[in-house]
Amino acid sequence: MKYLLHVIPEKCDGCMECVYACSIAKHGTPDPLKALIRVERAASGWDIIVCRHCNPAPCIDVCEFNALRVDESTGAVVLNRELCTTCKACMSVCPFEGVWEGCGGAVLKCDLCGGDPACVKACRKGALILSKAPDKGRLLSKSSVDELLRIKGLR
Amino acid sequence: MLVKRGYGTLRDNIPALNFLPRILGKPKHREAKGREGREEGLREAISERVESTTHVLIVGGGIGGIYTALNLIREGVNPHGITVVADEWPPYSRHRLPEALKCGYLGGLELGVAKELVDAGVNVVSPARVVGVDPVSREVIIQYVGKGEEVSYDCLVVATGGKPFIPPIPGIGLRGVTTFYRLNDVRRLLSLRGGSAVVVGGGLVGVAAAISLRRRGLRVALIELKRSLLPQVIDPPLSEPLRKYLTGVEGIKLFLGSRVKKLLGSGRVTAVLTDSGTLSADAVVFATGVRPNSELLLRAGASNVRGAITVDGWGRTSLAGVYALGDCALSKDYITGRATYRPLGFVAAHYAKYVAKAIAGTASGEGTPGVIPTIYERLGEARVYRLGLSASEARSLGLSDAEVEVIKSGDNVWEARILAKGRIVGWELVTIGHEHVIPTATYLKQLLPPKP
Repeated sequence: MKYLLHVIPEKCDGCMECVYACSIAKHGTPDPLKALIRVERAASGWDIIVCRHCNPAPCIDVCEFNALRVDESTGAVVLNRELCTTCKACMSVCPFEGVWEGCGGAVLKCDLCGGDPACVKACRKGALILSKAPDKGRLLSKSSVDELLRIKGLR
Repeated sequence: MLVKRGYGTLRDNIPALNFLPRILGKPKHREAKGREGREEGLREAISERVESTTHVLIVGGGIGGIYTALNLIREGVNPHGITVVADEWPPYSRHRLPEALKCGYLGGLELGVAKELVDAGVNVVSPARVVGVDPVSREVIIQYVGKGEEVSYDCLVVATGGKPFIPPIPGIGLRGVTTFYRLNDVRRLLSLRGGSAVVVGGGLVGVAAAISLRRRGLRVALIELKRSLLPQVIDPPLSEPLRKYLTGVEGIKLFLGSRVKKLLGSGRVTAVLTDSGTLSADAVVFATGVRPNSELLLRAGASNVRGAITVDGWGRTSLAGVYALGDCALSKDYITGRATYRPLGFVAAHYAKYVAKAIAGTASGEGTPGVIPTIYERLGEARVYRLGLSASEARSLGLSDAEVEVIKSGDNVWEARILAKGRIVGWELVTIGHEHVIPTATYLKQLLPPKP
């Protein structure tokens, strides 16, 4: 499976900048409950919970409502909330818990901000990386700043 | 009172229904005008004419009905030839009810497709129900508030859904006793201010309702007839940690292997008498399963198994020109190929595609290869996953050697594979709290049917 969005939880320090950036980008207000990305305490440190935009995506395979599809211009896995009934089949197959139920029962899922995600721009720790197919093992071994600059073509 | 309208031809009958979406688009207007307005609308509408080749009449405005309508349009059927008769409108998703109760927010329940269908020109008749069907002359009787109408069809799609099963227990009619099935049930429970609630039924709906009530500050007891929680979803080795979580962390009193004998109170329920003692209750919630709401087709003589309508791979019933899907019908299990009763939203949506293809004439072959369950529920901080069959469902579908193989049994992750006839037929996972990676993909490929 290939991913568009890479999460390196080892580099996350729980600052929540990505969560606030997402909520502001989507709703104009910094409300973590409305954000399409979550940061939670994990056994060792922090974990970032967000859709990785898998290809092929198991959620698209199981959705009987055709509510999930790949956006052709960005490659993101996007949810059509008009078609979704919160049957939760997508949640049953997501390897990352990247789709969840918001307050009131509507399904929340990252749409990659049309290809330029606010969370990635907000993360100063290099824990979120947008890339077509980076080598995740390599990302982990290098220091975050070095690696981030290199991936973005600045070094 | 039923007024028979003696229109002989199909084309005369469609316009009589066609005025209704306009009324539906303005619900306040309809209330203001009341019944007079409706009759005036009927007279106007009868003078209109709409060209249509096929008249598809869909009974039921739930997931099965509206997604059949949507798929019919996708398959090229003229929306003006599609009529949906619904007893309530707009439709909403039951899957969202526990979360709506927990948050006290009912605004996100509505299904977005509904408006799109009306905008596309689908005729929605509501509030109304179909009270009779004659499969030979292809006519149904639609009953509105206070009057009826006979309408003919070319294809009839019955998606009348399910109805909550309520066991025959003395005191069931007391106030404060409710199901957890409709929007009004949630409204009723939202009006409770503290006190104690007793939930009857330890399935997904009952446990989710219990947690939502607990989060609203009520004392909650849950009674389940079987000895384990979620007996239809996961097998006992995985439901045991969930039991500990619900009692320990959520503070829900569980009575497993218990039976409700009687509801006590005068006028309003005050207590529940069980074989494990008496529980005080300001509200009693029955989440004791769903049965097919299929009387319409049973009276018309459709074949069925214990009330669930028998269908083929295209959703065709034993009656010519009549289709059935969703919680009123049986569906095919992918792994065993057997017919079974699964009142789940994605089963209805799966069949909606096949029914639409069959009606539109784009069908070929055997129809659906069957449905594979893909179940998830978040219950407080616990997550429950199941792909494919549980061991108990596998056994009920004829895989007598089905067994649970526990792969992981830790502090907060419990995982099992279900094996039968030398292969994996299912996978179950329970986590307490978030897990970084869920090993679904490993099992998904072995279980998933090809997309139609």
